[in-house]
Amino acid sequence: MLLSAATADKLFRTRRIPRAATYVVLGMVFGTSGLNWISPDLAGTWRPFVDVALGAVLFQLGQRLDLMWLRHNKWLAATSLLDAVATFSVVFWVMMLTRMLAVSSALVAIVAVSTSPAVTICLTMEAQSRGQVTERLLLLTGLNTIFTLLLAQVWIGWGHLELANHPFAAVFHPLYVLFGSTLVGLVIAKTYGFLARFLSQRQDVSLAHLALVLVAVQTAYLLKASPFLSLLGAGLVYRTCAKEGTRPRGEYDPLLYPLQAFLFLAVGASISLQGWLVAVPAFALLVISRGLVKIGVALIFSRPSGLALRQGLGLGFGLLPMSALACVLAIDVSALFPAFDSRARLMLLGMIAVFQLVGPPLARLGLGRLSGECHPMQ
Amino acid sequence: MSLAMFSVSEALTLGVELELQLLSKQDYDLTPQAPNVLRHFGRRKMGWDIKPELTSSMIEVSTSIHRGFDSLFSELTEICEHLSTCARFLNIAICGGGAHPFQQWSDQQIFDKPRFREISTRYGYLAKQFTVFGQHVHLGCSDKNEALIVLHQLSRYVPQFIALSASSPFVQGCDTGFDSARLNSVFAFPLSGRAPLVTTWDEFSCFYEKMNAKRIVKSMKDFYWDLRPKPEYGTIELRVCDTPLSMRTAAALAIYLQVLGRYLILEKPFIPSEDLYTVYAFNRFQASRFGKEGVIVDPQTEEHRNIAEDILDTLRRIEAHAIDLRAEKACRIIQAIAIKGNGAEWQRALVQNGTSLPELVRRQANLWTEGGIEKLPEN
Repeated sequence: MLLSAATADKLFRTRRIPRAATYVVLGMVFGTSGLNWISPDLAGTWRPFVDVALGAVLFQLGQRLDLMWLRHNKWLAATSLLDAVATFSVVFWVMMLTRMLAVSSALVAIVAVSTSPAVTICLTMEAQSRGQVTERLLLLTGLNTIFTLLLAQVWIGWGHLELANHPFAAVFHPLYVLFGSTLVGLVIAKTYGFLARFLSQRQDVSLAHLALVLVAVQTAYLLKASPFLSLLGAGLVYRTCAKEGTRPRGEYDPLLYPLQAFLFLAVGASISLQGWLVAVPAFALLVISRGLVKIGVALIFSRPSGLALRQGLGLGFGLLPMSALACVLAIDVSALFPAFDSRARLMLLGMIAVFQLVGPPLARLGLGRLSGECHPMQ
Repeated sequence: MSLAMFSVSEALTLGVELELQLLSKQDYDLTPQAPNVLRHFGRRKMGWDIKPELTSSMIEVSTSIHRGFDSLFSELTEICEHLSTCARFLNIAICGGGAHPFQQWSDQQIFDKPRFREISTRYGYLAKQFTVFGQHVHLGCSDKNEALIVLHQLSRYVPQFIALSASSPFVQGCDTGFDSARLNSVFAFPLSGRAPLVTTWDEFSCFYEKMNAKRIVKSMKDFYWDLRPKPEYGTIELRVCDTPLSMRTAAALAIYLQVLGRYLILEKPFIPSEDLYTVYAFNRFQASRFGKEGVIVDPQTEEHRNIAEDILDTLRRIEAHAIDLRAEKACRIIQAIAIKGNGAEWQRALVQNGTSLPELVRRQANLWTEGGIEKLPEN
């Protein structure tokens, strides 16, 4: 982490290379697919740390989502909906073309819908970007995360039916997770709402955030709920319900910097490049189709939703990155259903690896050159 | 560019320009969304106009020509409704006030337009520091020489307008102690301050040509005077007001200028002389520093008097003109501000009661959108 801090800072200052990309590359160099000095077990010992880091990101993201905007800008709502539906449909179709099982294709398609919350927050933090594309990117990233997490629960139900033949679990497992996560989220939101009245200094807000994330993750573990749904929901409920004037405002929690760096390094180090290169043509089709759909939808709806075409293109680029959330989902599903198609898993991890590497620089291009929303000094 | 001919306009007609703040609804800091707002309105034909300003977190709206309070206020309300719809569509907020209380000047972006780029090159960081928000009022004049005389006579009342509109006590997160700190940003420009005391258009043209020949100015826009003639419109332009926190105050200030203009044209209470400007800088400072509690020196009587008292005294003198122009409503608003307090006092009282600066800006945005009027919180 020491080396990555120095390298990421140098590359960002001299070449404007996003820190997220540097961390992932360094993770790959020192991780499983490189020197193998660190081999994080994201399904085991490293998992609680990853959950806390990603949970903290999602809690912050939830607090930035203003769903009322969708009511006043129907075209933006359409952008979000079509982005999710079209990405899912096209990726599902491509996977089916490569003769995957429908259940496996659906999982890859669900993960393809997501946009990395960690990358979006990391980029907007480091570029101090402000403006229409930045706000839309945060909202659409949040909505894509919600769609992905909810669809993943639906898929788990289907998985129980198709891969494990457990009709009871097919219905009650997803419902239980949703109910449990909502409950944890509501309690966290309520607690934060109470605490927020007493928080005026940034360091106090930061401490409260960390404490609540730890409590939420631990409680979600105990209840076997989803810490991600809980924390994203908690941030969203707090943002929506907090009385105007009581909500702490301002910049992101500085605690996110080290947490995100850890997250990108861990995910980068866990990526294994062995295996998925064998399916290059199908895999290339998968990556290209996801990229084109996300950019295409953002472009089509840019004008009616109030953006210039250039900004629409910038928004499309911003929606491309995939990272820890997708990775963790893939790992969870593999653990839950050992019978899950190994070829589909390779395709999925490969797609995540590509968008993890090329996503952050493209998103930076979208926020910077194309939209002109990065801070003049950044 | 040579000086434009002074277009004759109907005497005492009015036009108002308001510079407004564009805010992020996340943290209520300024957000550089002027290009998005301007794109939203596109080439729509409206009676009023919307234009970019020096930095991308500002927009300027200007009304059509008006003769009285009701029509002016009605158009300002219409502008506000259109802007509110646009703001909801883009998920931003819009508010009045002379300065944003906690924006950092270095965060601002110069709007991408040749004239603004040139200003940025010429004035360096002053350009970004000029992210302040004013109300400009144009008063129609039927005669170019009379326009210059009224311009200089009005300089006597500049402190009143500063005190009435003052709404910029906080800058870069701190209480400046000024009611209108915005004027300090304007004063940094070399061509700011007062116009030279010339009372005929020929003399003024001569002055302009000299400045133009020396390549100090290219157009009238390069003068940042408190009061300046606008020959293209056939008006004189009052530029000292902070953008008030509510539209009602903005309309009332414009009408107050109209009534004063009528009083000066018809009654000719004094002849402009250099005496007016002997006390000008002192009075101007008192108004921007202390608002209506400032103490000014009357240039004719040399008497020291409180600005609030001066406003109330002026309102009594011009009452007949207010009745003739049906401007009683506007004068009552001016009277209420002189007695109860200006926007800066409202802002300061809220912050002293524990309101954070982002929350203050949110309330300013509500005040602007809902068309209310600032009421001082009760202690």
